[in-house]
Amino acid sequence: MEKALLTGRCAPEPAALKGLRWAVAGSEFCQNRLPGPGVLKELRLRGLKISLATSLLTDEGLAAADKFIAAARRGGLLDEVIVNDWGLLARLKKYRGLRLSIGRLLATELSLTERAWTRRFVKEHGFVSAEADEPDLARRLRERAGVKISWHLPHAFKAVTTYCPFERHFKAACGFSCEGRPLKLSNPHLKQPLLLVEKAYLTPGASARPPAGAWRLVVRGGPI
Amino acid sequence: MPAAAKKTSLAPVNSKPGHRMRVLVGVRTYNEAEFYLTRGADEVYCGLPSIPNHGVKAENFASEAELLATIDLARRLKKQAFLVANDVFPGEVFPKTAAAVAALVERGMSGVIIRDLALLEYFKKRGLKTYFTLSTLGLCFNREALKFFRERGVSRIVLPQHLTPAEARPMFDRKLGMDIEVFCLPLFYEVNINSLCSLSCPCSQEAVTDVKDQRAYTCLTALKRGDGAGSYAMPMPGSKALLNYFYDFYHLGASCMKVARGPNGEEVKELFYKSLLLTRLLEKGVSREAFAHEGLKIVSSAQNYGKRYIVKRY
Repeated sequence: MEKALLTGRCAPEPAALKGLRWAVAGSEFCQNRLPGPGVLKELRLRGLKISLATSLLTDEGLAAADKFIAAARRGGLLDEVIVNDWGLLARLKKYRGLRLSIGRLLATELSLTERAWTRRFVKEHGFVSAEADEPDLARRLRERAGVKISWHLPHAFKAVTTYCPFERHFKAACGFSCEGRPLKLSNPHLKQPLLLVEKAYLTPGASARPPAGAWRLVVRGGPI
Repeated sequence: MPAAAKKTSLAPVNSKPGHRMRVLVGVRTYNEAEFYLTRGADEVYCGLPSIPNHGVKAENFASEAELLATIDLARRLKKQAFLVANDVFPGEVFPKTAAAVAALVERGMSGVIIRDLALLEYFKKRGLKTYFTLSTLGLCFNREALKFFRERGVSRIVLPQHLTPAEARPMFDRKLGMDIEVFCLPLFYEVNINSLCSLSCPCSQEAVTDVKDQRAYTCLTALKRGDGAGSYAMPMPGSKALLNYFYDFYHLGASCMKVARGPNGEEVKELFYKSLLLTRLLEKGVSREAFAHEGLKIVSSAQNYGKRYIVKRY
């Protein structure tokens, strides 16, 4: 099984990458968290394959992601894009040989749609894998979409917004004040606490056990 | 095929100051449809429990016969009745339910509110045309995504609540020829992105009849912060910001204002009158400042989200 570290916007300490073949840069939950300058190059110099996680995108976010992907492809620094936006999916048609993975937000749609249609759609758009953190979602994606599963651990996704819970705005530029500050939230009505990370609420520890047959494990690292 | 089912576009988007926005209201009964269509609504939308849609059962019509009568009512009044089918159709029932949607279109529904891309392909393959609206649940956040859905047969989108007017501006490009529908945001705003939220929520409840029986909804209740810094409430923009967004969406050329359906009929009625009042203020051409000033008075105590899910019929 392949192993990956979710590196977010920054390059991690070399020790954190020991034994890994993949780095997943960027974010599925916030369009502001594209990797910083030089990050992909640093990851590549450490011998890693690189995946870029992307989120739902506004027009401004789409333009930034498109520009970033084009530059990374030209530099030979990108092997895969995790797609969560229909508009980005349409834009990515122009790249040959770029591996695509269904992100956890689009996976909700593409794990439920009618099987024959889903298989055609997945093939037509070149998806080979899907990101998942919940056993039922992984099973449906395998059965309906016929893709390999890239499993995220240890936290499972529960909800997302585009209104930054840390800085309380929608802006496309921010102070990255979420970094290194995952916030645990609880109340007596919740069966399990929540973890606020970027613009998403996760259930801590809920996806610690990967399903059989997952082709890649993606571990959340710091400072995220 | 009746004329209404063939139609694939409504009145063109008109972004001139003073343009009139269509008013769409979600209804559960013939009586509700009659009530709204004779008091300012241009369109109603209706669901059936047998056709997947994103709502609790109590938000649907009790019978197909009543829904058919509502179609006829809308036609008599020269107004529109849409079918809401805004959930993904499970594979096991897809052929049967897609055929049921097609039959209702043939019978005279003015259009269908959808989320499932496979349903669009089903219609295209059979040469069936109708006016498709993409629900907010379809996750259309940019102009490129809008083109993606337009190419597949969508004529209108309900703009996601989590887009600001500045972000959404490119989607109002008249060259795209899409109708854009907005919620009356100061009166109806969901804290997290609806189709991507699996927290305890009114949307997941069935036939809640007493407020005391409702579970605490995570997006509305206080949470204890793990860092010891007190309590946390899932944030959303304030009323004034949302009034300004509504003002800007109107002036960008939004062609329709939506009042969402709910099982609490009295609450939907209140939402309708308040939303209509705000819409008419915009159509009168009031200034931003005057709109915000009057709007704040109208929307005060509006966020009764949980109470929407107490079933009350009238």
